[in-house]
Amino acid sequence: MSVRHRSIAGAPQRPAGAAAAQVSEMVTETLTPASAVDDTQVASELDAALPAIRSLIAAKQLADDPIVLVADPLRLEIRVVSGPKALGMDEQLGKVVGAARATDWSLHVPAGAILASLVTRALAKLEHVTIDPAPTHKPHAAALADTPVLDLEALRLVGGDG
Amino acid sequence: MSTSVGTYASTYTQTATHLSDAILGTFSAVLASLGLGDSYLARNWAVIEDGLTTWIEEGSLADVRLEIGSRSDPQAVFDVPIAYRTTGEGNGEFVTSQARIARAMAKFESVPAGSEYRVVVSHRGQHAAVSGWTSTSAADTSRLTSYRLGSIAGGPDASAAMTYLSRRP
Repeated sequence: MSVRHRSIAGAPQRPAGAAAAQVSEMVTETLTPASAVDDTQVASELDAALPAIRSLIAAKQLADDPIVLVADPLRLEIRVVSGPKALGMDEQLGKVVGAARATDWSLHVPAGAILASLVTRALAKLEHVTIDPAPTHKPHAAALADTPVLDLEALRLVGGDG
Repeated sequence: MSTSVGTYASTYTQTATHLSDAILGTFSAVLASLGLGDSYLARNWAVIEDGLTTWIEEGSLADVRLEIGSRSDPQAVFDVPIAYRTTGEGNGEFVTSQARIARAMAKFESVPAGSEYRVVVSHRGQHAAVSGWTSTSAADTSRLTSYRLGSIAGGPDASAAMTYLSRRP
């Protein structure tokens, strides 16, 4: 799975409402090329989740714990930075490539310790946006741990050994 | 698309954005802590954000209150006065104090489930008209006891602190 990271500037550069809109736009545009994903459902669920995401941004809960979009083969981690770090930072807004072959998607929103009840209630009836943690990402190298990094047999054949 | 965030905004605008965000984030956290729904806040977020930002930027916002319960006999009030600094007086940093508020929440008195609440502001002097806001009178807090919770956020040009007014004696 390809893992991408994006950071969006929050306050004082951009109010929480505008930062939440950028998160929503990024997820929407990233999923648009995935023909197997229902755009209408994406829009509907993001609309319903927007107030909770906005509150999390205003409460500075998305700086360390990202929102994670899982649209296999893409995993996109979105953080919203606030305070002095938000000023003058480089942003890459909008579409993130890599989700065109996705057949399903899920958006994992951290409940945030101080907003847990509010976020849980807001997302309870949504099918794809959830407070459940995103599946742990296993780096490619770890997934191949049982496989030799070099195919020694192939090297012997190439070298004419044996 | 790669975008570099500009720094063209004045510190007044940035301070206003920073404090508005911190106040709304704190109110969200207070509501969550008290087990109240956020539908009012969610429905009116843009109007509240616009009002707070506009009035802090022009220096006319005196305080913001989250009033819970009836106007005549409120369950609790969270009062956030805004203190303005003369330019150059502040330390130039944008800070928030989420941890302090999170600790204070453990001591909030519970309120009846489904309690109504509203956001009320008061001004000092002339202020710009902001769409969506109407005139009202603040809740009667004469029977409430106040507890200072300290600063919730500060910027180069202003800062915000919070006082909790409770029925607890």
